[in-house]
Amino acid sequence: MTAIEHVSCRFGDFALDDISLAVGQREYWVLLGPSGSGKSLLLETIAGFHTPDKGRVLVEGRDVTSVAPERRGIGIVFQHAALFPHHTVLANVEYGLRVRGAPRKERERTAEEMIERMGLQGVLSRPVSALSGGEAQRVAIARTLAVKPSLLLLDEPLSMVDHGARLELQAQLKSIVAELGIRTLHVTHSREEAAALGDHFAIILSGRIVQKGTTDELKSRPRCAFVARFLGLENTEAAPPCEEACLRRPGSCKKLD
Amino acid sequence: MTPSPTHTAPFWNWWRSLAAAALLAALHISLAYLPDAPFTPPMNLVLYFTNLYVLYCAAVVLPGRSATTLAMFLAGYAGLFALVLLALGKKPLFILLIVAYSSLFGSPVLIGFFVIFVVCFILLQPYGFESFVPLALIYALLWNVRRRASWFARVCLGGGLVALTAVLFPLIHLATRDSVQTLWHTFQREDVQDAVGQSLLSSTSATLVVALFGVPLAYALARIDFPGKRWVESLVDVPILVPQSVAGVAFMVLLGPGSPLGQGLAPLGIRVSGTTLGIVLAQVFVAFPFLVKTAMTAFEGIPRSLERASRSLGASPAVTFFRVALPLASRGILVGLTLAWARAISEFGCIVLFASSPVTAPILVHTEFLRAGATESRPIATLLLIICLWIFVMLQFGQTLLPFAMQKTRRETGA
Repeated sequence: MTAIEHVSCRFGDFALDDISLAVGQREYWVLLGPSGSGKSLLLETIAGFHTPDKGRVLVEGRDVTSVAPERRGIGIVFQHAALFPHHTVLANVEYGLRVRGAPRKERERTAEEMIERMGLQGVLSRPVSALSGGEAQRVAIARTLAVKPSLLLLDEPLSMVDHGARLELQAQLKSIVAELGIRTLHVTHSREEAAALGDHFAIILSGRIVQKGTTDELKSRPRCAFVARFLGLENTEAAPPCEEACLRRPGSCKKLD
Repeated sequence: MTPSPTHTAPFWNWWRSLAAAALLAALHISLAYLPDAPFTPPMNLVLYFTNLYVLYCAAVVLPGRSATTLAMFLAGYAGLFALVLLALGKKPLFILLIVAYSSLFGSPVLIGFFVIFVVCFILLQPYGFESFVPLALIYALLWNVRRRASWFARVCLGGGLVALTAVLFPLIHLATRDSVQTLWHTFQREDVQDAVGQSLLSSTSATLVVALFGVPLAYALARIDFPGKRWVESLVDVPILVPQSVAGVAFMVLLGPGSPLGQGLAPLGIRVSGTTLGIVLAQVFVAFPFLVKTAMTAFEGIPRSLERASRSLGASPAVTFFRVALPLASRGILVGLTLAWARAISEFGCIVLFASSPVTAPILVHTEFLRAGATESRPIATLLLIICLWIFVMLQFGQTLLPFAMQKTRRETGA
């Protein structure tokens, strides 16, 4: 099982409050929430850059709550691609295998496969600083998938990509994730992106999950008016009014009205 | 019919030129009949032809220019006239300068250099050469950026650079005093070679020591937030703040021959005061803030997400440091090492109290000055200046050879 269980964490102005989420085999979860809701903090906690105050993180049944990020088997793609500017595109893709001491043959084979899958043959010779936002993000995805993580975290990966390239990258991401059958947790504040990619949604607000489930569940039975509005549903009136739980944090729900 | 504004009558034409030449001739003839004639007749004739040439140049350059340009031309002429002919009374020089002036007036670049030349070599004598070179360079720089910077920025740049030249002028002046032969003879003196060698050896060792503990410290300070971090950062600055003589006394008290620690180390064969070890210690003390500060800024400039990406790809913190942080900060670290090295080799106050032997170059300059005065110690000082500058410039140049700089790529890789 790959899951987070009752995770609470406080970091600066952000806090996570008792978050639980289980990502099943071949599931693509989209964590949807407005800016400042703690989505990125949650991803960083799962990836191991923050230690949760409470709760645990499980990767394929293994408790990794106190395991260093490099031994969690979790891949993360950042909003800004975070490519290594002193390496070539190829060296970026090979980086993970290189630091794991993979033999050269395997390294080359995997890198070649990833480059082909992400359609990066054309940019191999370019310096990293000359890549466009979409190209850089494709290299970042290839780099992360090259080490075959058992959970893929995507932190607003498409927000810095311009519109035309975004649709293309979205399709590419969807197909490669489906092909590899990798568990994915994708953070975004864009519901178009969420609708295009996810099969499961979790709506997060002020560090707590308001509702989670399959896309159909959420769309057919939004838990409250906020969820309905955030998903862009037509008949927000049909949804039950916002609950006390959702309203408890001051300003969070009303602000979005 | 009204004249169109784009086609005005030419300012100069042939009959006006003739009239001007005749007027000029009348002026020079009347000069010759003054009660005590200022010029001999041949000189008067030469001056007349010179002025004719000035008229000719004006006729070539000035048409189509504004009245301000004409006023500037006349003001320049009047200035040279007042300065060289009236104040200094140097007639041949006046002729040479005025010919150059009227020839160069058409080109704004050259006339600028000409003005600087006149100011430096006539007004600022005997410092003509050493003031002309920097001022001409500043003018060339200002001319170069004239389309890229606002007038205000250019005034700031020019004023700042002129002030900087004034501050550095003692060194510029010193560097031009001695001939190459004198410097070469001084350089071949054995005591000078020993002192320079000692300086290079100890400051380079000090820089290596500083690198070994300064880079990790800078990395930690850049990456870890802890309570009181600001105080630790201020502690790093203490050697800059403390007078070097105070540091020298402090070293002496701790490690000098009479101190418990100094006596404790003596049986082990370790002497600190008055040895290379002592010099290196003093240099490490004064130099390390320069590296730590610069390296810290360099590490802080690396987006944290790069290191996080490296960790999540399977690299341990140490591997991440050597594969990501260190290469990306290397340029900043090299800048810091250069500064630290420069600070180490220039250290005098602490060393003179704590470890004045073996003699380093700054100590030698000092003892020569005490023994024989400023003129005698000048070649050694010049030599030390040139050696330091040479290595400093080479290191600065070396930094530009590094294949990448974080600043350039920060935009693409994200904060």
